[in-house]
Amino acid sequence: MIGEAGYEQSQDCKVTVKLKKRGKTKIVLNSKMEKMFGDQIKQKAQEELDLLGVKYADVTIDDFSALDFVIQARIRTAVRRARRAEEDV
Amino acid sequence: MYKMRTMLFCPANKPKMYLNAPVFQPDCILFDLEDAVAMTEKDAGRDLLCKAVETLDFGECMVFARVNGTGTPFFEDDVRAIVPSGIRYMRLAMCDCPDDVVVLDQLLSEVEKQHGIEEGTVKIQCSIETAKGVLNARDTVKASDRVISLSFGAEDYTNSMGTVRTREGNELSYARTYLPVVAAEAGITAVDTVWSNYKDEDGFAEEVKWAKTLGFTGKSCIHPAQIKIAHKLLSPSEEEIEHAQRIVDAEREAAAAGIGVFTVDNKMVDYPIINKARRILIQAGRLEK
Repeated sequence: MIGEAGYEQSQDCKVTVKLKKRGKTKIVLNSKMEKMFGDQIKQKAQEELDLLGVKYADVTIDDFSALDFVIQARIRTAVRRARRAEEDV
Repeated sequence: MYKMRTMLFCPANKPKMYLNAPVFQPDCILFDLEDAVAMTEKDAGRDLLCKAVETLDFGECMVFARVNGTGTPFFEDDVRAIVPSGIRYMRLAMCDCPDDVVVLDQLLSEVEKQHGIEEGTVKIQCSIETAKGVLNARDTVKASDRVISLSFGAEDYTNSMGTVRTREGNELSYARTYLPVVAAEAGITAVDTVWSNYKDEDGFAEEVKWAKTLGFTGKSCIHPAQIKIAHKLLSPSEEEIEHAQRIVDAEREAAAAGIGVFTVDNKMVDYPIINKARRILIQAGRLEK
């Protein structure tokens, strides 16, 4: 199931989380900052997924210069929405 | 009493605001989970606010969250999420009666206990926004020891009165006159409503002056440009401070000389005048409480 959160606006990011039953977690980052901060952003994203107990997911982050706390907040919302969508099925 | 000359409104779901708002140094920042956040985005606003409060340093600004009213499906989730994240001040929207405060107070006690936070740590500002809210305000602000302040919300108030807001604000007279009296009796601060036309700075300044005259000590702001204006108008002027200092100095000298009544600037000074002078010096940070 898929959950989305955030906006394509400056200092924000749009996060899409697709929860899976098995496999690996894959984080795709689209950001002008990727060269400088890509590893750090992915690490922060992974930390948040771990905190939320997400083991298998495809995560896409379309970043518009968001700070770490914004990325983590958007991941949190997207995961909750994906879980809710799963429950609704 | 808390220093709340300005409360800058920021939508809780806008990342930019968390970085920009503290730069303008309002006394308080109010992250709004209510009207400024769409129904479908309440969860996102809440998550962003929690992460921001856990991560950022807001310096001396008091960080408030305006939570959704007790009658909404968002109220409980708001409170349960934001208290553990570190929010210590809440503005309760649509505070109509003492029961609204009691409901929040009880939920806060439960959440504080659950997270090992000392009971009573989180403080409440009652947002009075309806005719019913105004008439019940005196009892409402006494419904919990957590209440440190009340604020007036004119948009919903005029709606409840079936009238419209004007630049002159005559339609707000009753509430604006009554609420500072309620606050003074309860020993809490009174924060006036927003001035929506942020380009009309003269109108804003006039409204702040009028609010101060009536007894409000703070103003809700919707634009950073309003902060400097409000701080200037809601702080004692140099002239007022100097005069107050002369009175307090004269009182000290009179007491040392065993004189009961004395004059400053050819005017007799008695206790109400001394107390007012002390209040001004305390406001200005020149005298300890």
